[in-house]
Amino acid sequence: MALTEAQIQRYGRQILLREVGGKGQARLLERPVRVEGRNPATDVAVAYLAAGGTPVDCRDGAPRDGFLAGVALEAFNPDAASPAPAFAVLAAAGTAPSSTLAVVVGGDGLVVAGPDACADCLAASVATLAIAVSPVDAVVLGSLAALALQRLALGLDLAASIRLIRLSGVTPAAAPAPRCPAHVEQM
Amino acid sequence: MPDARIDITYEICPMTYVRVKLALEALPDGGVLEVRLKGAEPLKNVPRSAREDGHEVLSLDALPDGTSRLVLRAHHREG
Repeated sequence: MALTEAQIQRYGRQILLREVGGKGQARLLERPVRVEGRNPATDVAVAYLAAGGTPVDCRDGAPRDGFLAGVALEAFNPDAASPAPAFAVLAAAGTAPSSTLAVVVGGDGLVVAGPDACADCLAASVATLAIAVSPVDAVVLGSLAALALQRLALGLDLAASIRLIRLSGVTPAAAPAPRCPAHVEQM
Repeated sequence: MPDARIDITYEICPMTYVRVKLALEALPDGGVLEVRLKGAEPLKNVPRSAREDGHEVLSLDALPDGTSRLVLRAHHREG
């Protein structure tokens, strides 16, 4: 898809990024994310995704926290309000995502699942996430979740199966992801 | 003879390189882009950013009207 002049103006700084460019920006605009469940971190993630041009389908309601509280996505960024079929899922911990191409965010970390992820391994990792999310941690976790989804849309993390990122203080770090019984036997 | 030309004399940073980047992306690998630019900032930053993105600076010449002509060869990285 060709970017419009308004989109070039809006996403200019993002287009400058080596991993994005014009083609990457077009990919972000064409790959919607569906939000399943919500918590303060998903609210932050929705804001970042929408600002970057990713269409967002908030099936469980619009964000109630953060700077998108009470703001219609269409008013914030018309590109973010597209009803096209979802490319990936952003889910709140405690919610079983309907796709294995997903980022699940909880109170102490997030799980990133690529297209080759095993649904049972994803569930095993998601089960370790805390449900409650503090407002401060929501900013770190939500921005990370948005970045992870953008990287999936750009095709930068397609080799990843399941990655678990834990928050230690305010510093995120990779952690061993639990495996389902079938994949534990293979290890 | 360039494959494409753009004029960014009316643009300001960061749109100067955004325009160039999009024009280079639209070219095939090895395609040549001629850029008309004006002012110290794009003169310094556009060739540098193009090199950092893996493209080749073929020439940079000052023109009598105070603008400059930059000629770039597009090199697209795989992936």
